[in-house]
Amino acid sequence: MADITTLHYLVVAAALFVLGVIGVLTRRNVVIVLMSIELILNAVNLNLVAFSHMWGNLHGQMFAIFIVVDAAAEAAAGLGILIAFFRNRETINVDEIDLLKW
Amino acid sequence: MPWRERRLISALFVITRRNAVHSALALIVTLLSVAGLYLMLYAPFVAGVQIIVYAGGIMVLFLFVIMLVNVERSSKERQFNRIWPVGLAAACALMALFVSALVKGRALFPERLVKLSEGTNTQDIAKALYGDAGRMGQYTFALRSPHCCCWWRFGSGDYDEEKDLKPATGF
Repeated sequence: MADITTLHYLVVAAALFVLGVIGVLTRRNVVIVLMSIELILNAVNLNLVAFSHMWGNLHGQMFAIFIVVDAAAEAAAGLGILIAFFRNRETINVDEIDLLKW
Repeated sequence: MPWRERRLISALFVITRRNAVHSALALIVTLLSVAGLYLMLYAPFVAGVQIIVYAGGIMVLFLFVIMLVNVERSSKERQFNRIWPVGLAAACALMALFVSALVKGRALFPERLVKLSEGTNTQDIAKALYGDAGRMGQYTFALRSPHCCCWWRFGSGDYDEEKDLKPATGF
């Protein structure tokens, strides 16, 4: 088997990112859209840690820890908004959350 | 390499399952395998943070919310958008762009320039976060562990052996 270079990690991170993008664009369930956003954040983290490994210093890992903390806060905020909305409208389909339309 | 394929297959399960609980469990598998990949990249602290915060905190929060929000009704409806081919085509174009950019520039990503040390990774990250990252690192992680706070106080080396490092007596 060939050596696992940094390029392999970057391609895998790109694939994870694109799968997350497909989930965000395609699904109608809001919770699954939020989980796809977490996939995207993980792909970015993987990219950062792979580059940190390549350069040999810890900057990428530090930034990755910041991103994990930020993703936790954002997931909590997004799910709170979702629950507040669900209490009013009884639906979690993105197609039916259209209060701002005409 | 088992981690790579498992992560991509479980990520595929995340976005295609009808039941939201199945998607959450597939996402947990994805996050755990990404943590394994961090271990391969000589980053044990980031792997630990990932498992504890992401798989142990955020995904539990997701499962609670799925429990609170009605799951049975939404799992009987149509799962994908009406314009899902457009989204899929756009994402495939994005993937083609990424792969072409990465493969064309593969000379920019050499294997490993400087070897990271794995045994002292946590101490190095603490020293970097509290020293090099400046005020942002200190304020964000001020409530972390006593070890990190000790680095904050004593990291620069200007402590007095007699006064600062001897245990307190005479209570």
